[in-house]
Amino acid sequence: MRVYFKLPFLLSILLITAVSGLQAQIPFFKSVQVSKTGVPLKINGICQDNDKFIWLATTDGLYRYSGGGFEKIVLKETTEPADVSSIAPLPDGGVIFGNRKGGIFKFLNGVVRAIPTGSLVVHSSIGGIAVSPQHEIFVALQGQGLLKIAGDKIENFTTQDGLPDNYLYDVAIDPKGNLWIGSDGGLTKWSGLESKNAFQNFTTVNGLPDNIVRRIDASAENSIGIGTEEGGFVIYYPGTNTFFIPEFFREWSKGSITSILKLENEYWIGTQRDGIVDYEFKGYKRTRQFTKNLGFEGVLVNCMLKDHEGNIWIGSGVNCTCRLERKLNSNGNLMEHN
Amino acid sequence: MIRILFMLLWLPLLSGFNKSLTSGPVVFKTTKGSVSLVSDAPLEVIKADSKELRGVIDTSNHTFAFTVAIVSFKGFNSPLQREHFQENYMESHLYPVATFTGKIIESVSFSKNGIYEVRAKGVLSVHGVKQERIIKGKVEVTSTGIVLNSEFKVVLEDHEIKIPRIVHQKIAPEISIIIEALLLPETR
Repeated sequence: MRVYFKLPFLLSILLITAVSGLQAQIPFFKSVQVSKTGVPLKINGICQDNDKFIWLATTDGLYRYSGGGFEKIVLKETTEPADVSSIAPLPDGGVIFGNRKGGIFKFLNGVVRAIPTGSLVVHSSIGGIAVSPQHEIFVALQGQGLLKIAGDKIENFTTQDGLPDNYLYDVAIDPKGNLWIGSDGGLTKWSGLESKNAFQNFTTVNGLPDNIVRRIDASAENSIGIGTEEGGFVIYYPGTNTFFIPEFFREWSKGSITSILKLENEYWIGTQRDGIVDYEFKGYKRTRQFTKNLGFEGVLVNCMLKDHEGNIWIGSGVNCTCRLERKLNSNGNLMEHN
Repeated sequence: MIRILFMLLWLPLLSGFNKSLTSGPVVFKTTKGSVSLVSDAPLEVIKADSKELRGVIDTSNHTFAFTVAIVSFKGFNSPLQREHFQENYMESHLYPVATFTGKIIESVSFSKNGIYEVRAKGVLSVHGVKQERIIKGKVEVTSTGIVLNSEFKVVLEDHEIKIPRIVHQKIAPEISIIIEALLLPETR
Protein backbone atom coordinates (compact mmCIF):
# COMPACT_ATOMS: atom_id res chain seq x y z
CA MET A 1 0.00 0.00 0.00
CA ARG A 2 2.81 2.39 0.85
CA VAL A 3 4.38 1.67 -2.52
CA TYR A 4 1.18 2.76 -4.33
CA PHE A 5 1.28 6.09 -2.46
CA LYS A 6 4.96 6.67 -3.08
CA LEU A 7 4.92 6.10 -6.85
CA PRO A 8 2.42 8.87 -7.78
CA PHE A 9 4.18 11.15 -5.30
CA LEU A 10 7.56 10.57 -6.92
CA LEU A 11 6.08 10.96 -10.41
CA SER A 12 4.48 14.24 -9.36
CA ILE A 13 7.80 15.53 -8.04
CA LEU A 14 9.47 14.55 -11.31
CA LEU A 15 6.74 16.23 -13.34
CA ILE A 16 6.89 19.45 -11.32
CA THR A 17 10.67 19.52 -11.66
CA ALA A 18 10.44 18.99 -15.40
CA VAL A 19 7.79 21.68 -15.83
CA SER A 20 9.78 24.11 -13.70
CA GLY A 21 12.79 23.43 -15.86
CA LEU A 22 10.82 24.16 -18.99
CA GLN A 23 9.39 27.35 -17.58
CA ALA A 24 12.82 28.58 -16.64
CA GLN A 25 13.79 28.36 -20.31
CA ILE A 26 10.92 30.54 -21.44
CA PRO A 27 11.74 34.23 -21.16
CA PHE A 28 9.30 36.28 -19.18
CA PHE A 29 8.33 39.66 -20.53
CA LYS A 30 7.21 42.66 -18.60
CA SER A 31 5.76 45.77 -20.11
CA VAL A 32 7.31 49.11 -19.30
CA GLN A 33 5.35 52.25 -19.95
CA VAL A 34 7.33 54.73 -21.99
CA SER A 35 5.18 57.84 -22.10
CA LYS A 36 4.07 59.14 -18.72
CA THR A 37 1.50 61.39 -20.35
CA GLY A 38 -0.13 58.56 -22.28
CA VAL A 39 0.81 60.04 -25.64
CA PRO A 40 0.35 57.33 -28.26
CA LEU A 41 3.72 56.51 -29.71
CA LYS A 42 5.55 53.88 -31.68
CA ILE A 43 9.12 52.84 -30.93
CA ASN A 44 11.19 52.90 -34.11
CA GLY A 45 14.67 52.29 -32.76
CA ILE A 46 16.57 51.43 -29.61
CA CYS A 47 20.20 51.64 -28.55
CA GLN A 48 22.47 51.92 -25.53
CA ASP A 49 25.17 54.57 -25.29
CA ASN A 50 28.57 54.36 -23.63
CA ASP A 51 27.13 55.66 -20.37
CA LYS A 52 24.67 52.71 -20.42
CA PHE A 53 21.62 54.86 -20.98
CA ILE A 54 18.94 53.15 -23.04
CA TRP A 55 17.64 55.40 -25.82
CA LEU A 56 14.43 55.12 -27.75
CA ALA A 57 13.67 56.64 -31.14
CA THR A 58 9.92 57.12 -31.19
CA THR A 59 7.18 58.85 -33.12
CA ASP A 60 7.00 61.18 -30.12
CA GLY A 61 10.66 62.09 -30.18
CA LEU A 62 13.59 60.86 -28.10
CA TYR A 63 13.23 59.00 -24.80
CA ARG A 64 15.97 57.94 -22.39
CA TYR A 65 15.89 55.33 -19.64
CA SER A 66 18.13 56.02 -16.70
CA GLY A 67 17.07 53.36 -14.23
CA GLY A 68 13.91 54.75 -12.73
CA GLY A 69 11.88 55.14 -15.85
CA PHE A 70 11.77 56.82 -19.19
CA GLU A 71 12.10 60.53 -19.63
CA LYS A 72 11.38 62.44 -22.78
CA ILE A 73 14.35 64.42 -23.98
CA VAL A 74 13.11 67.91 -24.72
CA LEU A 75 15.22 69.33 -27.47
CA LYS A 76 15.33 73.07 -27.11
CA GLU A 77 17.80 73.63 -29.90
CA THR A 78 15.51 72.52 -32.65
CA THR A 79 11.96 71.51 -33.32
CA GLU A 80 12.94 69.08 -36.03
CA PRO A 81 13.57 65.73 -34.30
CA ALA A 82 9.91 64.72 -33.81
CA ASP A 83 9.13 61.29 -35.26
CA VAL A 84 12.61 59.92 -34.78
CA SER A 85 13.01 56.94 -37.09
CA SER A 86 16.50 55.65 -36.31
CA ILE A 87 19.15 55.88 -33.62
CA ALA A 88 22.69 54.59 -33.03
CA PRO A 89 25.34 55.03 -30.33
CA LEU A 90 28.43 57.07 -31.04
CA PRO A 91 31.84 55.53 -30.22
CA ASP A 92 32.81 58.40 -27.90
CA GLY A 93 29.47 58.73 -26.16
CA GLY A 94 26.12 60.19 -27.03
CA VAL A 95 23.88 59.11 -29.84
CA ILE A 96 23.15 59.98 -33.44
CA PHE A 97 19.60 59.91 -34.67
CA GLY A 98 17.50 60.70 -37.71
CA ASN A 99 13.88 61.48 -38.34
CA ARG A 100 11.23 60.94 -41.00
CA LYS A 101 11.85 64.35 -42.53
CA GLY A 102 15.48 63.64 -43.28
CA GLY A 103 17.02 65.45 -40.34
CA ILE A 104 20.16 63.93 -38.82
CA PHE A 105 21.23 64.99 -35.35
CA LYS A 106 23.82 64.28 -32.71
CA PHE A 107 23.08 64.31 -28.97
CA LEU A 108 26.25 64.72 -26.96
CA ASN A 109 26.80 66.15 -23.49
CA GLY A 110 23.23 67.34 -23.27
CA VAL A 111 23.38 69.29 -26.52
CA VAL A 112 21.65 68.50 -29.80
CA ARG A 113 23.29 69.53 -33.01
CA ALA A 114 22.03 69.06 -36.55
CA ILE A 115 24.58 67.22 -38.68
CA PRO A 116 25.21 69.09 -41.94
CA THR A 117 24.76 67.09 -45.14
CA GLY A 118 26.68 69.40 -47.45
CA SER A 119 25.07 70.15 -50.78
CA LEU A 120 22.68 67.22 -50.43
CA VAL A 121 19.26 68.29 -49.23
CA VAL A 122 18.00 65.20 -47.44
CA HIS A 123 14.23 64.93 -47.68
CA SER A 124 13.99 61.17 -47.26
CA SER A 125 13.16 59.38 -44.06
CA ILE A 126 16.20 58.02 -42.26
CA GLY A 127 16.06 54.22 -42.48
CA GLY A 128 19.09 53.14 -40.50
CA ILE A 129 22.36 54.50 -39.14
CA ALA A 130 25.68 52.71 -38.61
CA VAL A 131 28.85 54.18 -37.14
CA SER A 132 32.23 52.60 -37.82
CA PRO A 133 35.00 52.42 -35.20
CA GLN A 134 36.75 55.09 -37.31
CA HIS A 135 33.79 57.41 -36.61
CA GLU A 136 32.46 57.24 -40.16
CA ILE A 137 28.69 57.61 -40.18
CA PHE A 138 26.59 55.72 -42.71
CA VAL A 139 22.96 56.65 -43.16
CA ALA A 140 20.37 54.69 -45.12
CA LEU A 141 18.12 57.19 -46.88
CA GLN A 142 14.70 56.01 -47.95
CA GLY A 143 14.81 57.39 -51.47
CA GLN A 144 18.19 59.08 -51.80
CA GLY A 145 20.69 56.25 -51.44
CA LEU A 146 23.54 56.08 -48.95
CA LEU A 147 24.98 59.02 -47.07
CA LYS A 148 28.52 58.78 -45.73
CA ILE A 149 29.73 61.38 -43.27
CA ALA A 150 33.39 61.31 -42.30
CA GLY A 151 34.24 64.48 -40.44
CA ASP A 152 33.64 67.31 -42.88
CA LYS A 153 33.59 65.00 -45.87
CA ILE A 154 30.08 64.15 -47.01
CA GLU A 155 29.37 61.71 -49.81
CA ASN A 156 26.16 60.45 -51.31
CA PHE A 157 26.03 57.12 -53.15
CA THR A 158 23.12 56.20 -55.39
CA THR A 159 22.25 53.80 -58.18
CA GLN A 160 24.64 55.77 -60.35
CA ASP A 161 27.44 54.54 -58.13
CA GLY A 162 26.33 50.91 -58.23
CA LEU A 163 23.66 50.64 -55.57
CA PRO A 164 20.76 48.49 -56.80
CA ASP A 165 18.16 50.94 -55.51
CA ASN A 166 18.00 54.32 -53.82
CA TYR A 167 15.44 53.26 -51.24
CA LEU A 168 17.52 51.91 -48.36
CA TYR A 169 16.07 50.41 -45.21
CA ASP A 170 19.07 49.48 -43.11
CA VAL A 171 22.84 49.61 -42.85
CA ALA A 172 25.14 47.54 -40.65
CA ILE A 173 28.90 47.11 -40.25
CA ASP A 174 30.30 43.63 -39.66
CA PRO A 175 33.31 42.86 -37.41
CA LYS A 176 35.57 42.82 -40.48
CA GLY A 177 34.59 46.34 -41.42
CA ASN A 178 32.33 45.56 -44.36
CA LEU A 179 29.19 47.65 -44.76
CA TRP A 180 25.94 45.80 -45.46
CA ILE A 181 22.98 47.58 -46.98
CA GLY A 182 19.36 46.46 -47.27
CA SER A 183 17.23 48.05 -49.96
CA ASP A 184 14.39 47.49 -52.40
CA GLY A 185 17.02 46.01 -54.69
CA GLY A 186 18.29 43.27 -52.38
CA LEU A 187 21.37 42.97 -50.16
CA THR A 188 24.50 44.96 -50.86
CA LYS A 189 28.00 44.49 -49.49
CA TRP A 190 30.49 47.31 -49.56
CA SER A 191 33.98 45.97 -49.00
CA GLY A 192 36.58 48.46 -48.07
CA LEU A 193 34.63 51.49 -47.00
CA GLU A 194 36.97 53.85 -48.74
CA SER A 195 36.28 52.28 -52.13
CA LYS A 196 33.49 54.06 -53.96
CA ASN A 197 32.64 51.62 -56.68
CA ALA A 198 32.83 48.28 -54.91
CA PHE A 199 29.19 47.55 -54.25
CA GLN A 200 28.44 43.85 -54.46
CA ASN A 201 24.74 43.19 -54.88
CA PHE A 202 22.80 40.04 -54.00
CA THR A 203 19.27 39.36 -55.21
CA THR A 204 16.86 36.45 -55.59
CA VAL A 205 19.11 35.24 -58.38
CA ASN A 206 21.79 34.61 -55.74
CA GLY A 207 19.48 32.91 -53.28
CA LEU A 208 17.75 35.72 -51.41
CA PRO A 209 14.09 34.80 -50.83
CA ASP A 210 12.97 38.38 -51.56
CA ASN A 211 14.58 41.46 -53.05
CA ILE A 212 13.20 43.79 -50.42
CA VAL A 213 15.70 43.61 -47.55
CA ARG A 214 14.39 45.45 -44.52
CA ARG A 215 16.71 44.47 -41.67
CA ILE A 216 20.31 43.36 -41.31
CA ASP A 217 22.24 42.01 -38.32
CA ALA A 218 25.96 41.95 -39.09
CA SER A 219 27.21 41.48 -35.54
CA ALA A 220 28.39 37.89 -36.06
CA GLU A 221 31.84 37.02 -37.35
CA ASN A 222 30.86 34.73 -40.20
CA SER A 223 27.18 35.22 -40.90
CA ILE A 224 24.74 37.98 -41.74
CA GLY A 225 21.15 37.82 -40.53
CA ILE A 226 18.74 39.25 -43.08
CA GLY A 227 15.08 40.13 -42.70
CA THR A 228 13.03 40.51 -45.86
CA GLU A 229 9.65 41.93 -46.77
CA GLU A 230 7.90 38.71 -47.75
CA GLY A 231 10.54 35.99 -47.71
CA GLY A 232 11.05 35.89 -43.95
CA PHE A 233 14.47 35.50 -42.36
CA VAL A 234 17.59 34.22 -44.09
CA ILE A 235 21.24 33.85 -43.10
CA TYR A 236 24.02 34.71 -45.49
CA TYR A 237 27.40 33.03 -45.07
CA PRO A 238 30.05 35.17 -46.81
CA GLY A 239 32.68 32.43 -46.46
CA THR A 240 30.77 30.06 -48.71
CA ASN A 241 28.71 32.72 -50.49
CA THR A 242 25.51 30.87 -49.64
CA PHE A 243 22.10 31.82 -48.29
CA PHE A 244 20.38 29.56 -45.76
CA ILE A 245 16.67 29.85 -45.04
CA PRO A 246 15.71 28.16 -41.73
CA GLU A 247 12.91 25.66 -42.23
CA PHE A 248 10.44 27.74 -40.21
CA PHE A 249 10.70 30.55 -42.75
CA ARG A 250 10.51 28.50 -45.93
CA GLU A 251 6.74 28.95 -46.21
CA TRP A 252 6.68 32.33 -44.50
CA SER A 253 3.48 34.35 -44.97
CA LYS A 254 3.31 36.58 -41.92
CA GLY A 255 4.56 39.87 -43.23
CA SER A 256 7.89 41.56 -43.13
CA ILE A 257 10.76 40.98 -40.72
CA THR A 258 11.04 44.17 -38.74
CA SER A 259 14.00 43.52 -36.45
CA ILE A 260 16.79 41.03 -35.78
CA LEU A 261 18.74 40.39 -32.60
CA LYS A 262 21.69 38.02 -32.67
CA LEU A 263 22.34 36.22 -29.39
CA GLU A 264 24.99 33.64 -28.60
CA ASN A 265 23.19 30.59 -29.97
CA GLU A 266 20.07 32.06 -31.45
CA TYR A 267 18.48 34.81 -33.46
CA TRP A 268 15.45 36.65 -32.15
CA ILE A 269 13.49 37.76 -35.17
CA GLY A 270 10.87 40.47 -34.78
CA THR A 271 7.93 40.26 -37.14
CA GLN A 272 5.36 42.63 -38.50
CA ARG A 273 2.33 40.94 -36.97
CA ASP A 274 3.33 37.76 -35.20
CA GLY A 275 5.57 38.68 -32.31
CA ILE A 276 9.06 37.22 -32.07
CA VAL A 277 10.48 34.08 -33.62
CA ASP A 278 13.35 32.56 -31.65
CA TYR A 279 15.57 30.56 -33.99
CA GLU A 280 18.26 28.55 -32.20
CA PHE A 281 20.97 27.53 -34.60
CA LYS A 282 23.04 25.85 -31.87
CA GLY A 283 22.14 23.90 -28.75
CA TYR A 284 18.49 22.82 -28.97
CA LYS A 285 18.35 23.86 -32.63
CA ARG A 286 14.69 24.64 -32.30
CA THR A 287 12.37 27.41 -33.34
CA ARG A 288 9.95 28.96 -30.87
CA GLN A 289 7.52 31.83 -31.07
CA PHE A 290 6.84 34.40 -28.42
CA THR A 291 3.33 35.40 -29.33
CA LYS A 292 -0.01 35.51 -27.55
CA ASN A 293 1.18 33.45 -24.57
CA LEU A 294 3.59 36.26 -23.82
CA GLY A 295 1.54 39.16 -25.02
CA PHE A 296 3.11 39.56 -28.44
CA GLU A 297 0.37 38.41 -30.77
CA GLY A 298 -0.49 40.99 -33.34
CA VAL A 299 2.24 43.26 -32.12
CA LEU A 300 4.72 44.78 -34.47
CA VAL A 301 8.21 44.23 -33.07
CA ASN A 302 10.15 47.18 -34.42
CA CYS A 303 13.48 46.90 -32.67
CA MET A 304 15.42 44.84 -30.14
CA LEU A 305 18.53 45.37 -28.06
CA LYS A 306 20.61 43.29 -25.71
CA ASP A 307 22.07 45.75 -23.24
CA HIS A 308 25.41 45.58 -21.44
CA GLU A 309 23.80 43.75 -18.52
CA GLY A 310 22.15 41.07 -20.61
CA ASN A 311 18.62 42.40 -20.60
CA ILE A 312 16.73 42.23 -23.82
CA TRP A 313 14.71 45.28 -24.72
CA ILE A 314 11.97 45.12 -27.28
CA GLY A 315 10.41 48.16 -28.83
CA SER A 316 7.04 47.67 -30.35
CA GLY A 317 3.92 49.57 -31.09
CA VAL A 318 0.67 49.36 -32.94
CA ASN A 319 -1.46 52.45 -32.99
CA CYS A 320 -1.73 53.62 -29.41
CA THR A 321 -0.03 50.57 -27.92
CA CYS A 322 3.54 50.93 -26.87
CA ARG A 323 5.44 48.49 -24.81
CA LEU A 324 9.01 48.00 -23.87
CA GLU A 325 9.88 44.63 -22.44
CA ARG A 326 12.72 43.54 -20.23
CA LYS A 327 13.90 40.02 -19.75
CA LEU A 328 14.06 38.71 -16.19
CA ASN A 329 17.04 36.88 -14.87
CA SER A 330 16.99 33.17 -14.10
CA ASN A 331 15.66 33.81 -10.57
CA GLY A 332 12.63 35.59 -11.94
CA ASN A 333 13.77 38.99 -10.71
CA LEU A 334 13.61 42.09 -12.81
CA MET A 335 17.12 43.03 -13.85
CA GLU A 336 17.46 46.69 -12.99
CA HIS A 337 19.84 49.17 -14.48
CA ASN A 338 22.08 51.48 -12.58
CA MET B 1 -0.18 47.33 -106.29
CA ILE B 2 0.97 44.27 -104.37
CA ARG B 3 3.97 46.23 -103.16
CA ILE B 4 1.66 49.02 -101.86
CA LEU B 5 -0.57 46.50 -100.06
CA PHE B 6 2.47 44.86 -98.54
CA MET B 7 3.71 48.22 -97.29
CA LEU B 8 0.28 49.10 -95.85
CA LEU B 9 0.19 45.80 -93.97
CA TRP B 10 3.54 46.52 -92.39
CA LEU B 11 2.88 50.15 -91.54
CA PRO B 12 1.27 49.49 -88.15
CA LEU B 13 4.13 47.28 -87.17
CA LEU B 14 6.70 49.87 -88.14
CA SER B 15 5.13 52.57 -86.03
CA GLY B 16 3.71 53.08 -82.56
CA PHE B 17 3.93 50.34 -80.03
CA ASN B 18 6.21 47.87 -81.67
CA LYS B 19 8.57 50.54 -82.81
CA SER B 20 8.69 52.05 -79.36
CA LEU B 21 9.30 48.76 -77.66
CA THR B 22 12.28 47.91 -79.76
CA SER B 23 13.67 51.40 -79.75
CA GLY B 24 14.12 51.79 -76.02
CA PRO B 25 12.28 53.27 -73.09
CA VAL B 26 8.64 54.05 -73.51
CA VAL B 27 5.92 55.59 -71.44
CA PHE B 28 2.54 53.86 -71.14
CA LYS B 29 -0.56 55.87 -70.29
CA THR B 30 -4.21 55.47 -69.52
CA THR B 31 -7.01 57.93 -68.93
CA LYS B 32 -9.82 55.41 -68.77
CA GLY B 33 -8.76 52.91 -66.15
CA SER B 34 -11.28 51.43 -63.78
CA VAL B 35 -11.28 51.65 -59.98
CA SER B 36 -13.97 49.70 -58.14
CA LEU B 37 -14.57 49.83 -54.43
CA VAL B 38 -16.56 47.47 -52.28
CA SER B 39 -17.57 47.99 -48.67
CA ASP B 40 -18.82 44.69 -47.27
CA ALA B 41 -20.29 45.49 -43.86
CA PRO B 42 -22.62 43.31 -41.77
CA LEU B 43 -25.74 45.30 -42.68
CA GLU B 44 -24.94 46.59 -46.14
CA VAL B 45 -22.80 46.03 -49.19
CA ILE B 46 -21.84 49.19 -51.05
CA LYS B 47 -20.32 49.16 -54.52
CA ALA B 48 -19.07 52.05 -56.59
CA ASP B 49 -16.63 52.60 -59.40
CA SER B 50 -14.84 55.16 -61.46
CA LYS B 51 -13.82 54.78 -65.10
CA GLU B 52 -11.54 57.77 -64.94
CA LEU B 53 -8.35 56.35 -63.51
CA ARG B 54 -5.44 58.18 -65.09
CA GLY B 55 -1.98 56.74 -64.93
CA VAL B 56 1.43 56.41 -66.44
CA ILE B 57 4.20 53.81 -66.25
CA ASP B 58 7.72 54.71 -67.27
CA THR B 59 9.32 51.44 -68.29
CA SER B 60 12.79 52.95 -68.36
CA ASN B 61 12.93 53.13 -64.59
CA HIS B 62 9.88 51.08 -63.54
CA THR B 63 8.18 54.09 -61.99
CA PHE B 64 4.47 54.87 -62.11
CA ALA B 65 1.89 57.45 -61.09
CA PHE B 66 -1.87 57.01 -60.89
CA THR B 67 -4.64 59.36 -59.90
CA VAL B 68 -8.41 59.24 -59.72
CA ALA B 69 -10.86 62.03 -59.00
CA ILE B 70 -13.07 61.25 -56.02
CA VAL B 71 -16.09 62.89 -57.67
CA SER B 72 -15.83 60.44 -60.57
CA PHE B 73 -17.06 57.53 -58.41
CA LYS B 74 -20.54 56.39 -59.33
CA GLY B 75 -22.80 53.62 -58.17
CA PHE B 76 -23.64 53.34 -54.46
CA ASN B 77 -27.03 52.25 -53.17
CA SER B 78 -28.62 55.68 -53.33
CA PRO B 79 -27.83 59.26 -54.39
CA LEU B 80 -27.77 60.27 -50.73
CA GLN B 81 -25.16 57.60 -49.99
CA ARG B 82 -22.98 58.95 -52.82
CA GLU B 83 -23.36 62.44 -51.41
CA HIS B 84 -22.25 61.23 -47.98
CA PHE B 85 -19.28 59.45 -49.55
CA GLN B 86 -18.19 62.56 -51.45
CA GLU B 87 -18.83 65.22 -48.85
CA ASN B 88 -18.71 63.66 -45.41
CA TYR B 89 -16.29 60.75 -45.63
CA MET B 90 -13.90 61.56 -48.48
CA GLU B 91 -14.32 65.33 -48.20
CA SER B 92 -13.71 65.65 -51.92
CA HIS B 93 -13.88 69.44 -51.76
CA LEU B 94 -10.72 69.33 -49.63
CA TYR B 95 -9.08 66.24 -51.09
CA PRO B 96 -10.28 65.97 -54.70
CA VAL B 97 -8.03 63.10 -55.80
CA ALA B 98 -6.53 59.84 -54.59
CA THR B 99 -3.05 59.10 -55.90
CA PHE B 100 -0.52 56.27 -55.91
CA THR B 101 3.02 56.99 -57.07
CA GLY B 102 6.09 54.82 -56.81
CA LYS B 103 7.98 52.06 -58.52
CA ILE B 104 7.61 48.43 -59.53
CA ILE B 105 9.87 46.25 -57.42
CA GLU B 106 10.08 43.19 -59.62
CA SER B 107 11.93 43.11 -62.88
CA VAL B 108 9.53 43.20 -65.83
CA SER B 109 10.57 42.82 -69.44
CA PHE B 110 8.26 45.32 -71.09
CA SER B 111 9.62 44.38 -74.50
CA LYS B 112 8.40 40.82 -74.22
CA ASN B 113 4.80 39.66 -74.07
CA GLY B 114 4.01 37.87 -70.83
CA ILE B 115 2.31 37.95 -67.47
CA TYR B 116 4.21 39.17 -64.43
CA GLU B 117 3.22 39.10 -60.77
CA VAL B 118 4.64 42.29 -59.36
CA ARG B 119 4.72 44.46 -56.28
CA ALA B 120 4.17 48.16 -56.67
CA LYS B 121 5.74 50.16 -53.90
CA GLY B 122 4.86 53.74 -53.36
CA VAL B 123 2.90 56.36 -51.53
CA LEU B 124 -0.85 56.00 -51.52
CA SER B 125 -2.57 59.28 -50.80
CA VAL B 126 -6.25 59.05 -49.89
CA HIS B 127 -8.17 61.75 -48.06
CA GLY B 128 -4.98 63.77 -47.94
CA VAL B 129 -3.23 61.17 -45.78
CA LYS B 130 -0.18 59.50 -47.26
CA GLN B 131 0.70 55.89 -46.55
CA GLU B 132 3.65 53.93 -47.83
CA ARG B 133 2.22 50.80 -49.40
CA ILE B 134 3.40 47.72 -51.21
CA ILE B 135 0.54 46.60 -53.43
CA LYS B 136 0.53 43.35 -55.35
CA GLY B 137 -0.71 43.22 -58.89
CA LYS B 138 -0.51 41.54 -62.24
CA VAL B 139 1.11 43.16 -65.25
CA GLU B 140 0.38 41.64 -68.62
CA VAL B 141 2.50 42.86 -71.48
CA THR B 142 0.61 42.38 -74.73
CA SER B 143 1.09 43.52 -78.29
CA THR B 144 -1.43 46.29 -77.61
CA GLY B 145 -0.06 47.64 -74.37
CA ILE B 146 0.12 46.86 -70.66
CA VAL B 147 -2.87 45.37 -68.89
CA LEU B 148 -2.85 46.08 -65.18
CA ASN B 149 -4.90 44.25 -62.55
CA SER B 150 -4.73 44.66 -58.81
CA GLU B 151 -6.83 44.06 -55.73
CA PHE B 152 -6.01 45.52 -52.36
CA LYS B 153 -7.57 46.97 -49.27
CA VAL B 154 -7.65 50.48 -47.88
CA VAL B 155 -8.12 50.80 -44.14
CA LEU B 156 -10.25 53.85 -43.47
CA GLU B 157 -8.54 54.55 -40.16
CA ASP B 158 -5.13 54.65 -41.88
CA HIS B 159 -6.33 57.61 -43.93
CA GLU B 160 -8.22 59.33 -41.15
CA ILE B 161 -11.58 58.75 -42.78
CA LYS B 162 -14.05 58.98 -39.93
CA ILE B 163 -17.28 57.02 -40.03
CA PRO B 164 -20.08 57.99 -37.62
CA ARG B 165 -20.77 55.33 -35.02
CA ILE B 166 -24.39 55.11 -36.13
CA VAL B 167 -23.36 53.66 -39.53
CA HIS B 168 -20.54 51.40 -38.30
CA GLN B 169 -22.58 48.32 -39.17
CA LYS B 170 -23.17 49.65 -42.68
CA ILE B 171 -19.68 50.69 -43.70
CA ALA B 172 -16.74 48.29 -43.52
CA PRO B 173 -13.53 49.50 -41.81
CA GLU B 174 -11.57 48.06 -44.74
CA ILE B 175 -12.59 48.89 -48.29
CA SER B 176 -11.69 46.48 -51.10
CA ILE B 177 -10.27 48.17 -54.17
CA ILE B 178 -10.06 46.59 -57.62
CA ILE B 179 -7.97 48.20 -60.35
CA GLU B 180 -8.19 47.38 -64.03
CA ALA B 181 -6.43 49.40 -66.68
CA LEU B 182 -5.03 49.15 -70.16
CA LEU B 183 -2.05 51.42 -70.62
CA LEU B 184 -1.12 52.29 -74.17
CA PRO B 185 2.36 53.25 -75.34
CA GLU B 186 3.34 56.81 -75.90
CA THR B 187 6.74 57.40 -77.36
CA ARG B 188 8.65 60.20 -75.69
